[in-house]
Amino acid sequence: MPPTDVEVRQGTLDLLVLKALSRGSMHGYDILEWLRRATGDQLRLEDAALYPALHRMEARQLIAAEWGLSANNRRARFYCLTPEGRTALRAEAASWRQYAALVAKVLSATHRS
Amino acid sequence: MTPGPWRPEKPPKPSDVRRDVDDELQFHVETLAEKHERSGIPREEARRMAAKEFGNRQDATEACVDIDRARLEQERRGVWFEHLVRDVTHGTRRLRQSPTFTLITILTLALGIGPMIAIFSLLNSVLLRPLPFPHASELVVVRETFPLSNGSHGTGSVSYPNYLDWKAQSTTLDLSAAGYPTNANLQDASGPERLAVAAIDSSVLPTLGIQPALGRNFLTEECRASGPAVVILSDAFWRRRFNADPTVLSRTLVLDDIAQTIVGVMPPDVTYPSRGPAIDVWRPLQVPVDPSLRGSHFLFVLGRMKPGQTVEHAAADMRQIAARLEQLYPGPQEKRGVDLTRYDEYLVGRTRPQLLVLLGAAGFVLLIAAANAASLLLARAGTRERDVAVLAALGASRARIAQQFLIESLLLSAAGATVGLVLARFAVRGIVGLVGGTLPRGTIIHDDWRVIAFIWGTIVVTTLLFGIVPSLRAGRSNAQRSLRDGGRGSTGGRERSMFRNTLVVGQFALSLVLLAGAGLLMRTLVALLSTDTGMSTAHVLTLRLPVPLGSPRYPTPTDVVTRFYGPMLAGVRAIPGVERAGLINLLPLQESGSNGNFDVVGRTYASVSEQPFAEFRVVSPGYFAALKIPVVHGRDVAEGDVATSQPVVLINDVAARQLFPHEAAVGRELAFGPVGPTNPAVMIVGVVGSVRQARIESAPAAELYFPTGQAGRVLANMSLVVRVTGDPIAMTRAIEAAIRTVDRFQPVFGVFTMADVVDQSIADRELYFGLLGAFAAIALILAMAGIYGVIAYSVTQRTKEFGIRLALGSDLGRVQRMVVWQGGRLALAGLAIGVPAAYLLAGVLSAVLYGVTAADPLTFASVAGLLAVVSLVASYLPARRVMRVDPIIAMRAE
Repeated sequence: MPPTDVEVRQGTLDLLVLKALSRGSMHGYDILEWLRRATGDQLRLEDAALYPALHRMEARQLIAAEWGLSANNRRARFYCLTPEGRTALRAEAASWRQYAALVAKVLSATHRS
Repeated sequence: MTPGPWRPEKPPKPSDVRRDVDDELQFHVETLAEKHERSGIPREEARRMAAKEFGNRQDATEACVDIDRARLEQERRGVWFEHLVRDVTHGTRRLRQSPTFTLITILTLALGIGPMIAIFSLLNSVLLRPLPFPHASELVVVRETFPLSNGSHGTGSVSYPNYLDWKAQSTTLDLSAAGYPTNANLQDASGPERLAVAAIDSSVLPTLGIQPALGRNFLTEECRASGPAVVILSDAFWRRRFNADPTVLSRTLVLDDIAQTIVGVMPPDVTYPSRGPAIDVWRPLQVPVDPSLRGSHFLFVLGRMKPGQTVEHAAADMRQIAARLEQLYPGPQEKRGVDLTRYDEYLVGRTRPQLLVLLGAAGFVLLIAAANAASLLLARAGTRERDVAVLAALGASRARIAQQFLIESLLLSAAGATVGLVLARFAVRGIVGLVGGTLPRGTIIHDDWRVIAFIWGTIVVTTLLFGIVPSLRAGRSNAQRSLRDGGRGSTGGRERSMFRNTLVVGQFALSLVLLAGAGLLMRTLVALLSTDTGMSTAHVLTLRLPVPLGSPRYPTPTDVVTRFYGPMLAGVRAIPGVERAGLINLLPLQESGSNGNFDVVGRTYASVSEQPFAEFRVVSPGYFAALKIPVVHGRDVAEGDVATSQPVVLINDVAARQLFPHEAAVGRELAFGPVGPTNPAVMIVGVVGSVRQARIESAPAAELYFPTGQAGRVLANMSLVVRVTGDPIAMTRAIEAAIRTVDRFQPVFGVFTMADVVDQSIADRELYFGLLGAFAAIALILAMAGIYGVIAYSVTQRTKEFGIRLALGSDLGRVQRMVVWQGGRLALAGLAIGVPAAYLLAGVLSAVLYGVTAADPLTFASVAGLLAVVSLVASYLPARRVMRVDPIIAMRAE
């Protein structure tokens, strides 16, 4: 039986995108494909929702965009990390790990009376 | 902020944003569809599935478009700012690279902007700064009018009974009364000091709309004859003498030997009812309610219009009251009316036109300076054409190039304004120090937001004035041609010199206007100073001796004369080096007069207005001799003219001619009111020469001189006049010592030479002339520099031509004359415009001119001649350079 799909939690999409782009420049479709593969296709995210996030991050100068040719020879918009984006990825990832560990710790604590 | 390798070269236009977002999403949907097609799903079905799978495309598109548009807007602003920063830093660097050009331009602009700032700073404090009273536009000065012999009306002070009637009857005004400022002697541990004192009614502060900053206003019951001795201090006096001690209330101050209780401290800046000079202390107005005072005019009445009233309504209301009073009191009120003037107008009405004329003159100086700066910029633009061509070739737009030049101009005018501001500060401080008292409200100069706004406005306007034409020209220049010509745009050069020539013509026209104005004022001053005043002012020292008449020390006028003035004059006359000494209550040319009507005994008059009218003065023996005023008939006043002897009077020869044209004046009698045992007739015992009493420019009026021995209250405020053999000021110490020997508490103030007194009486004209003269001098220097610059530049440009001319046998003198004539022609054109312009504009000065008309041909011819000579000299200097032209080298020059 396949595990249940996990919905992308608020505020974490940016982190996932930054991680995806840390491997190199990609267009939106590739980013989604990569995220789905990386999560074993358990990530539930509407495709359309990715784009406002990308444009917002571009405005915040975490990522930069350029038009280029895709593998299927079409005009596509490619994104890559800016130096600011790379810094943000490191900081966000560290803080996320710390938080996740904390939550895990609390959940695994046993009640003693 | 780093552009990075991914940054698009050119940001998309706002109109492309939606198309780009659409393309981006379309790519995603199509890629999805292709994936489905590859797995065998029919094309149509695959597309439908992809669209469904993608989700809400509409919302995503809108969100992306909004985000992108906001980002582009921000980037656009950032780019503009980046350009600005770059232009400023590049501009500064370029200006530093040519320090001579930069320094000369900044100095030129400073000379142009400085006068503007200085005059505006004065104008702001005097005219624009609001009065320190709320709703000041509701305040009106109410004065009595009286008929003059020439049929018109004079305006003057108000009598106490009239004030009380006005106050009771007016339905339009809330009225208040104040006495004109006087002085009182302060005695305390730190020595005697002379204070400026004003007496005010309890309704003055409510009328002004202010309250004491500390303590309280005077009470109604304190404002009556023989009321309590209470005072309100001015803010400045409180800080100076009491270190702003808040416990000062209910302490006392000894003024004129009488202890006064301090009840309040005024807010800062209040000088009411004085026009300009500060008041130190206010006292309650304590006047007896006596019907005989109706003919005695000494009050300054201020009213506040009740809500909804206009000056016209209030004036009509007051005229009705005055008409009723004339019917009730036909004697003292005959033909007396009332005049209403807005208080702000009363304060500055006469100064406003003068300051506006000066601001206009400063504006001319600024125009002349801006013309020079523009000329300098244009000459430099010639050498920078190559730079501009390179910029244009690299794709800079015309607007960007123009902006760069304009920023440079802005930097120059901001620097010029900074230097000008420093100059203006010194100038204003000097002016206020010298003549602050002659400007109403001029003793307190505050620079506020208006001055700052004005300075910024001036910087912007100046930048546009001198920078706009060079900037636009730079933006327009043809890149290719300039590069090809090796940076010598020859056709552009001709157009440029046309423009610079026009500037020179304008400069000469403006300079002529300023010089003509200064010339007219100079002739006025010369006329004033050479007018025969009827007295000899050299070697004369004057000082004021206010005596506390009525205090325990000097209860009656006779006490003052016998116990103080008599011994004091004897002591002063005994000082070695003192020739003559005497007293007068109102010094010529210093103070406004007291005057009135009288009768010649034995003549009858149909009405008051037919009675003779004269100025009244009180003098001691020795006064006429001290000023060398001749006694032409009869005798001088004498020590024997005392309260118990025959009352006597001297008249001046103007009065003698008016009253007794065909008979002897000496021996005739004058009467002041009905003659009786308590009011005897006064005998004329002498006739003296006439002096210019009120102003140098007013012909002497009829005057009566009464002896000190027979005078009353005026003895409290006399001036001592001493003729000495040497330097008058050097005698001050000895004279003061002689005064203190008689009364050690007696303060002495207002020590001036009589020559100073004459100078002070024309100080306003001197200030006017000084400023206009300074502006004219700056204008002259700038105009000279302007024409020199243009001719020198043209000589450089025409070196080749001169070389050819000389090689073809033209003689040197001829070529030089040609160059000088080039400058002379421009100057002449300027003068041809300037003379009629000056003729038209000189009219604004006519109110202050004396002994010269606004259309004085001599002045106009002189300044035109001066400018012509200046233009020839300034053109000749560069023309001499032609001598050094070697024809061979010159022709090879290109």
